[in-house]
Amino acid sequence: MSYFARKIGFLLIVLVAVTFLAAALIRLLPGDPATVIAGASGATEEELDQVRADLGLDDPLPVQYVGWLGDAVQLDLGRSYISKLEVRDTISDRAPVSFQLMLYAQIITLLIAVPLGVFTAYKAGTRFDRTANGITFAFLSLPNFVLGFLLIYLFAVKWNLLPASDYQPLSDSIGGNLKGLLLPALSLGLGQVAVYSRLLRVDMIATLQEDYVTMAKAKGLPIRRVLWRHALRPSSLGLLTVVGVNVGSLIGGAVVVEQVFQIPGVGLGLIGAIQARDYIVLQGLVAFVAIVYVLVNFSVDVLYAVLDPRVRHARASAA
Amino acid sequence: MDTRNEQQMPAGEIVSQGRLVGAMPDPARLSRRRFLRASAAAGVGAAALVACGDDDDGPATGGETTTGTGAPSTTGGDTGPTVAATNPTGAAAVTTEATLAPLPDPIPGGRLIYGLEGENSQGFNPTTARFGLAGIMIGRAIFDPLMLPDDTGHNQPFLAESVAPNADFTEWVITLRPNITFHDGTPLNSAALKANLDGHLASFLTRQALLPVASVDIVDDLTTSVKMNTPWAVFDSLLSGQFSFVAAPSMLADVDNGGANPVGTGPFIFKEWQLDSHLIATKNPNYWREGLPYLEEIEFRPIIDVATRTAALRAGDIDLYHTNNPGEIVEFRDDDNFQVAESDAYAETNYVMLNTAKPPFDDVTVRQALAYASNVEEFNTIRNKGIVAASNGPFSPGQLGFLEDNGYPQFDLDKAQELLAGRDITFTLASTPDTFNVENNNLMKAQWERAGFTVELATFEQAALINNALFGDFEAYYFRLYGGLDPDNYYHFLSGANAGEIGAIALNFGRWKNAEWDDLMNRGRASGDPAERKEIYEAANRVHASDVPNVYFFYTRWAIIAKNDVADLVKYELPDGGFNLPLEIGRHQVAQLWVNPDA
Repeated sequence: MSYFARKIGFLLIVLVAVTFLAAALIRLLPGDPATVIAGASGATEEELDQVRADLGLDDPLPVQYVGWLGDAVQLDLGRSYISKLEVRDTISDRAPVSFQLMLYAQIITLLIAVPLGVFTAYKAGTRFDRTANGITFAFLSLPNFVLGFLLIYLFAVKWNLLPASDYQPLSDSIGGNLKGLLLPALSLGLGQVAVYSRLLRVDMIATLQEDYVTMAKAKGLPIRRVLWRHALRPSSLGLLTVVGVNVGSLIGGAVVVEQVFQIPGVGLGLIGAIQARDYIVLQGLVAFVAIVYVLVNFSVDVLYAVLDPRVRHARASAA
Repeated sequence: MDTRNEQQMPAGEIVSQGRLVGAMPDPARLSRRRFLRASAAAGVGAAALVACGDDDDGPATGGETTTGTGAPSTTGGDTGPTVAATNPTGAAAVTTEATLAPLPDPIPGGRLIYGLEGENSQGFNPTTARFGLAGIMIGRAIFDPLMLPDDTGHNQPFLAESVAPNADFTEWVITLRPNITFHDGTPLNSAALKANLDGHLASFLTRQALLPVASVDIVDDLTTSVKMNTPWAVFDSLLSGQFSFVAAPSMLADVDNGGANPVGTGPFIFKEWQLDSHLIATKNPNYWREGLPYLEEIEFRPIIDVATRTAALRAGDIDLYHTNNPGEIVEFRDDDNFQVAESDAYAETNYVMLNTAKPPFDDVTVRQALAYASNVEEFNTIRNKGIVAASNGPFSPGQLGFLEDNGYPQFDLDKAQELLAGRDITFTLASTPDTFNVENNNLMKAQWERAGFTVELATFEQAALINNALFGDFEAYYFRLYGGLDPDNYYHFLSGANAGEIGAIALNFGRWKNAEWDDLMNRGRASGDPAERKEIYEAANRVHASDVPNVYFFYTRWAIIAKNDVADLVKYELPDGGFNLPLEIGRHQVAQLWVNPDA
């Protein structure tokens, strides 16, 4: 079986497992969509049963799940029990928002972490290294929402430079979109700078002790060229892996950050679906998140092979 | 215009119960310190709730709220709603710089962004969606209500030309104004109204509040008859909330997509809605009220987090918002850059709901002991910045039946301990996990444990909390409910007929049964005599207070906070003269809003 076929098979198994577990777990919670929709308004138990029947909630979970899966493979993810909106439309509305947020967060993180990692490796043990270490770990120790409120206070309220809650779609205004997502992206990304930069620093320190680096220095190459052209690339494999794996924590962080900044992304949708016991929306969003997560990790594996020929050769030998 | 309201609730009576707020700032005077405090401490106002609290049909479980108490004050005048800035604790009057001087002539055009405390996630079909405050505000932009309360708290015809009962209140006739069209071009007529009312009668969401309605019949093109199966003297008190919105038949017929694409007769035409993000509506050029609305466009933006909402206003992301958070209200009260309109008239009550169908609260002495152990003054000082008033029952300031002293137990630790008589009473107090609620719960626990109770704390998500309440699976819940234009509005939440057994669904969550209360509430529903109704509901209030089915803490205080250039926050003239109640449980009109460039 080819590498890709195995990966796709793995993806399918993960999707089924994740969506089924999500469907099962949320049903363990007290309350159900019928009582959310009608319970507090005086509906009788018979009427609640009717609501459940109308929504297909009176079938056993496996039956409900298989029915949902059958429709999902045809890209019919159903309609929200609560808002009546198509889940497919909900995902297509929300996914780009979260994607932009996470992309901006990753870009900001990498823009800060890579130079910082390189220079702290070069200046390892110096005051600069220790200071950078302290600052980045301070950001890491701050929960996303605390950082979010701090940034809102400083940039929105005190200095009036950026909005506190003003998401604008990219199609409406590029500038508005960037302004609206800058603080959320910083809230999401700043904490990760410590992880990325320290990881790169460690790998860089090891790389800088390699013979070929010593050789490059001996040849008189400028240190900037040594660092960025010869040492960074082989040192970035660990960083790349973490960037891929970190998508999971970014999604988790986005749930909080989207709520703080009222950004209409997948995270806010997940919270709403859980609170309203909107199983059908939850399953759709969880399936989407799982697909993204697996695909990102798959892409990282491929990039790994591109960046490090040894990985390619090892796979070729194994095959 | 129907005059039945005057018969039922004469102005003098309203005056004696408290007053309103409202206040039109003089831009010249307020340019230095833009501060509009419309403080309806006891007041006027009303709220035409469909069923309860801030959600027309469902309870609000806990919340960040506050209140004011009743203190009489002034009345309305020709220039607009009047000011009665009162100390919410009912003592001396608080500062107000608002005057009755009118603003300059409104300038048409512009756009405002209105921050909402929540999202109306069920969409905007009035017959199938639960309208919280967010839904009501959007509804008032896109739909029109059949009636609106005037500044004395009586519903007056709005989309309806008249709403009149027969002699024994078994039939009400609603006559619509002529020549009004929906945004889709179809006419507003009795067929459309019947489609809406029939939709409510068939809806398990809204039907409960309309149980006395037997049928809806078309009399002619603009006249509709609503027949009752029992005399219902205050049917019209419901006709300014969710029930009053008349949606286009085409919208009601589109079961899947209608709720997300509302079509009404209102001042603004729906443009787009993105769940959790925004709803945009544009000016209706053919609006039946000439000259309105002033704005070209209005955007509603849900911002659920309190801190973010406050920051969004300060950063200029939004222009105004509503809130019931005491911290926010206090923060903006003395800020020259913003104006604040406040009211607690007819407001919801914040209380601890007790399950009276099982131990320990099936024992009235335990309930009384808990009430005596509750130091409400301390609670409101610590938790509500001292800007709210202590509540003593479901009857809120301004409402018929409200009494400053109804016999409800006042804080007395010795009395609480005496009633407990050394018994070891342990129970669980729960609420939603909202930080504000959890902090409240901790203070209550501390107070009650001083008297000898043992209190466990728990939190549940809203869905679980409602579910547990419905099936009686709780001991004590922190809740926010009741309020409204008339005590009949929460009839079904305290009716013994709705107090099911533990494990069976019941809308009377606390399962409190009191035959005397039921009898009084039934008599109040059927009576059209204002004096008799006053007497009935005051008696009901005393019955409720003596039996202590709940432990009461405070009345909700609502506020609209806006930038200074937002003009005519709460000043809205009714079509037949007079002014709309300035602020009723956080609700106000939006057609009259305009942007004042000179502010």
